[in-house]
Amino acid sequence: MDLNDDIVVEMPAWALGPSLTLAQAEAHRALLVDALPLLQNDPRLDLADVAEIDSSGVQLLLSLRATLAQAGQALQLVNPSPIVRSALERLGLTALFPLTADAPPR
Amino acid sequence: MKRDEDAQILAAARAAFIGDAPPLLSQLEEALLVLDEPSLGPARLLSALDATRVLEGTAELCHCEAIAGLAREMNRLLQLMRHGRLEATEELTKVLLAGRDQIAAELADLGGGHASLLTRSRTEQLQLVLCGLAGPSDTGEWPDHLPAFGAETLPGAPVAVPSTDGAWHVSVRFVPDALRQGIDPLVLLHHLQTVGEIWRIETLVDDIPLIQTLDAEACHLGLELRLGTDAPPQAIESALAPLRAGANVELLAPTARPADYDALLRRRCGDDEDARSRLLWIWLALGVNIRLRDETPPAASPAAAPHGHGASEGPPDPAPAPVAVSTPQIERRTESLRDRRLQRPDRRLDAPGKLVGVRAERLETLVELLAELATAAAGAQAMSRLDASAALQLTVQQVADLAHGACDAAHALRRVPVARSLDALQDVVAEAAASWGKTASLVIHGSDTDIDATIADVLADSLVHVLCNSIEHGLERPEARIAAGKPERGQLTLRVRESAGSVVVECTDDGHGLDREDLLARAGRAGLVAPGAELDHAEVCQLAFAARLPRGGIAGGRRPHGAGLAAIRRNIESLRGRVELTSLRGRGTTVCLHLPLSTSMIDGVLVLVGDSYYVIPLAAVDEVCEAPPDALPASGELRATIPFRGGDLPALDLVRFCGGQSRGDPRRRSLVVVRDGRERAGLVVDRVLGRQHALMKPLAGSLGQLKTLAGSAVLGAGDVGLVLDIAGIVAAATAMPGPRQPG
Repeated sequence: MDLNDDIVVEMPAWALGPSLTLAQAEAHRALLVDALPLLQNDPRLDLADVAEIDSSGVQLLLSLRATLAQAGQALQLVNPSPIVRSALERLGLTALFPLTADAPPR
Repeated sequence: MKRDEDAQILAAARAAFIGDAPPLLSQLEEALLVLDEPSLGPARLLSALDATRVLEGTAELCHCEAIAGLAREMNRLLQLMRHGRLEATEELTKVLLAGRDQIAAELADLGGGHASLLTRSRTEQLQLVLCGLAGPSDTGEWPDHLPAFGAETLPGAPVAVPSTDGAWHVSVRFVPDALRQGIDPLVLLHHLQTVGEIWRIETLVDDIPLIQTLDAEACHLGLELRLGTDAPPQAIESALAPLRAGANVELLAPTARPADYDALLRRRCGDDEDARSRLLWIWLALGVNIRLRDETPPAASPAAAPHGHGASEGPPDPAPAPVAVSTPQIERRTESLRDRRLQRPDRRLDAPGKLVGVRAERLETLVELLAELATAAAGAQAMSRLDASAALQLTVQQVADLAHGACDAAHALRRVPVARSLDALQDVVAEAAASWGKTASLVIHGSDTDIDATIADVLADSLVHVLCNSIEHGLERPEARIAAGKPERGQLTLRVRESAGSVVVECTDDGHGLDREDLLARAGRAGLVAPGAELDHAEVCQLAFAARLPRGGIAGGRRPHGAGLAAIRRNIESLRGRVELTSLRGRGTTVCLHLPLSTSMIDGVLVLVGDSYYVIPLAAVDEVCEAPPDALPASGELRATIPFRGGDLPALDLVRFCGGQSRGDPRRRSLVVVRDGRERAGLVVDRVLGRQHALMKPLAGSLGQLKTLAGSAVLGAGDVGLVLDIAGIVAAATAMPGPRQPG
């Protein structure tokens, strides 16, 4: 059975982008810290619009993952763009993130 | 008091586990040995999966963490193979076989009541190796139940040895400012890909702070990777050169020695045991072989010298080496793999095209003739011992051996894979479910046991009835199932396993189970139960077998159910089998069929009781020992509970039970410990004469009704022995215990 069957999409996932690079890293971090209460309820992050990511961006995702894991939640990356996928693949990290596509690809 | 009871329950569970495990282990071994054969592998993989799952579950119940852990890791590896994510290589098979052997070693320890440090340390090492081969779970987590890598002071602590994959090992740690300096791990990987191919990579993520305290511009990542390349070292160095300022890069060539890995481990982690363990795990995941320290030359790793841990914690282990997963041992296995395959019966003969059809009656005649021949040969052997030359004795001995062999072989002809009887059941289930307006699916586990063709027929026949009953009376209608929060489709499960000379088939449904009140009410109306009688759960379940139960059936059924079960029981009992039923209200019902593997030949222990010979089926015999004189049932008593191996054992004085007169010296009698399922009992006999292989015939007339006798057997010298029915005799020993001794 597909696990996604159980998820009823009501709220759009929290979106991040389009640039997850060093220049915006601190700004994104501050944003995510503010969004933490929301994400602890709905640990989905929409990465469809990410057009640029570097190691700082990946590190940010890993930090968020660890933070949510402490609250017993597993961070899900929704519709990650090919750029995000390839960065995670290159670092051998895909296994850490359940990649979901519960909205039709744009 | 409570603790005592718990300990007793645990001891009983463990004893049962030790009894049940050997068939599982041989099932596992058989499956593992053919894993890489394309024609047999997939089917056997399921059988291996099943064996490991049952071993894991049972071991967990018995608190045997070591066995459970091994079985769990083996199961994980097998799952990966099943999903095509791992290939069944010879190396993998060898490690799995090592796992199977290690479970056997742990079981031997468990049975001996002494946990050897050596066994335990081998188990842990092997668990690590198995786990390393399987890699982290889908979510990237390593199982949290794993042992840490052993302290390096222990002999046999793990050490990384260079893999044979021919890859370079690259280990990178970044300075915190690396990102700000424009040095990015992703870019580094890009550089590396210009000189070679990154085969495997693990990014170290443990040092990344939580998001509230994260310095988002600092680099907290590390990399460990395997680089496959033919490029000269200089080319790799120069590809990495631009990064030297912002990162610490360590390169190990494919030719690196264990000591080099050891040194790297030390540079990266210092004396932090936790960090060392984590890094070793990562290396495992990368495919770096983790072997045991005694493989390293002592000079290369001074820390490896044993510091006498073993001596302080228990008796010193007799053999310092070899350790289970050490290289030589794995290599020895390469040779033994072929031997092991040769020793196993070749099941490819079952393949279509190699079958010859033989009429069952002809086979029957052959089997009987050979059995008679074996008996006659045994008689000749006994006579020759009295008056014959040594040469003649030897010849007769050979004839007797050959006759036995022929007899066994003929018997094997009658055995068919139980799977053949089970295949048709899928259709039965589909049809029956459709006719009752229900949906159900049938899952069959462990169907590669071989059983006698006659028994297979009875089994298939009985299972059809059991399954139809389950569908008709057990499973709810789809709408009721949904209302009860169950999946719409009913789930029927058949589990087939071999246990002590019998085949056990468990048929489970996830329906609503027996309705205790309804069953009691109907049994009351039928006069089977006195009004107001207090019945325990097992007794109530037993009522479902009663033949005269009036209309009602299991909880809301429309036809009498009892008649069906009663018929099934008669059928099974006619073959010296038995049926059990357990049920949980709302959760489902399990019907458990126990059947002997063979109908007519018996392999037993021959004992003398008074003037008579008795044969105790060998499969049920746990142990034969001298009866402790002070522990015999008190004079005039048939039964007693005697202290035995630290526990209590119900014992039966067979001489008095059979109404005979003891001939031997009462102080020199023997105790035969037999097992029926989880029950054990001690039988006190005059003398144990030895092993006996004989043709068994059912008893005629009123003797056939005796629950404690299964039949008669003609013995070598022409004497007739009576074959004990284990279920009956154990019930006789345990059902009405004599006065318990204090304590």
